[in-house]
Amino acid sequence: MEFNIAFNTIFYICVFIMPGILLRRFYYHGEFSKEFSQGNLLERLMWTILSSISSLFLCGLFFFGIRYFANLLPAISYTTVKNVFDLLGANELPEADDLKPVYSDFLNLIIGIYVLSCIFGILAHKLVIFIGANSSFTFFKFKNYWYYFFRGKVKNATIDRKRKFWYTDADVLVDQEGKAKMYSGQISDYYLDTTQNQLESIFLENVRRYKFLTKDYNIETNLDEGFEQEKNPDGLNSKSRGYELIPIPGDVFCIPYSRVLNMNLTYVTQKKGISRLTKFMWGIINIIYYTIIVIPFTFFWIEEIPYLDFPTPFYKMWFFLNIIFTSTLLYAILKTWLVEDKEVKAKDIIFKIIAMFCFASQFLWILGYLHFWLVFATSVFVLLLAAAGLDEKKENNKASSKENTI
Amino acid sequence: MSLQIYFSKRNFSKNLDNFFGVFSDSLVSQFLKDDSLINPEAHVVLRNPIDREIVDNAVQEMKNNKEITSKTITLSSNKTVTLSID
Repeated sequence: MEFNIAFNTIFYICVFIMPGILLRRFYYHGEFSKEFSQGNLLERLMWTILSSISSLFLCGLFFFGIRYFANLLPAISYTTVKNVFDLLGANELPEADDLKPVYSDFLNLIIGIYVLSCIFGILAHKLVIFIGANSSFTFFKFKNYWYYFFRGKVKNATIDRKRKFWYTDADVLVDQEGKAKMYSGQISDYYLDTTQNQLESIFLENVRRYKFLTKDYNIETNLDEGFEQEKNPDGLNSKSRGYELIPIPGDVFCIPYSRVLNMNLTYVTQKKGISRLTKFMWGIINIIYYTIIVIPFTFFWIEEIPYLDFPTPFYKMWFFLNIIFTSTLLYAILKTWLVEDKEVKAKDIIFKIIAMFCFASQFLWILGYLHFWLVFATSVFVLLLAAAGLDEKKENNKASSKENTI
Repeated sequence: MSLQIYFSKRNFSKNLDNFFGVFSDSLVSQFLKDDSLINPEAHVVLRNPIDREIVDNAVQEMKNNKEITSKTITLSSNKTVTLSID
């Protein structure tokens, strides 16, 4: 099979189609990943082009915003971009002398656009889920409607904002060779078919089988027999009958949806137990944390960073990694302090604080205040010492190990 | 709960696990939490057979008696959790 494709077509696909594909791929992730490949080809192509335009627009805003403050990708200008497109439009390759000063910045720009498209896709997905736009507006609704049922996000069972979702407890009535059997368990996974979003199988954990009992609680009956007795006036009153849950050994229980007669879902939620002020503070901390992580990421595209002087790209990389490590540890400390249990606090927080200071001290050599080996060796020593030495009181350990043995 | 310096191999692996857990929890799990069918916190509780039984009993009790809308349980770690069903 002969397949000819012009070089400029590849370039246009890389610039105008790939960002849209990446944005859509990351928007439809997790429970909704199958939606990425659903719909007819023309529809998908239109959505991909629209996503590409949105992504390029947002990337433009992002890069121009940074360029306002710092010397970002200096070789890229309107003239250089126009020249490249003119040459490609004529199906010609640029001259080596023309390409040399701009190719690295072009490459960085394309990588930056791709990375940002992925991030925009994830953020758009998270935003739609977080504000509940997918539950309220049809436009944002994902085609995987089973997600809404299994996560308690259907309109008539909206979970109170003061409570957080724990799991969905399902009572599933299954047809087994003409007899109805009922199973109960926590929904852990489900599979949909690739085209129609129809449920194929449900996976339950901690499964138990319903064993229905007669009045004297001795005679086991099948559910369908139970219904027969209900109709019989001499039979047992259904209200007085009980049931027993028989655990089924195993990790995951699979039920093909073709065998399911009906399902009763119960959404188990937990009271959040944190005040509105704490929740608000935690929200602010989250925004600051993710901003701190994203901003140093842009340093790789900036040649001269204001107030910071890195002798080599190695220092720049360490600065970036160290910001992530230090801020993540600080974030974890604040999380332990604000959100988690008081009992967990004391034993966890001290090691995290020591580790955070060890990582923060690395800035001393990255920014040229102290020698690398002095800072690095000291902090590694302190970190290892703390890791090996910090523990709860010995008596508590003994007590807990005794409990575990029993 | 108080802390003391007590060197051991067990402390070392426990603290390092805790340390790496910070990064996986903050940078990775953060993004998986919203979509999971079983909340990661609930998953930890349900993995423990004793706690699983406590949770199951509470849920069954609430399912059978519609008047009970929420129930506070104490887990094996002495942590109290208030469960509700919709």
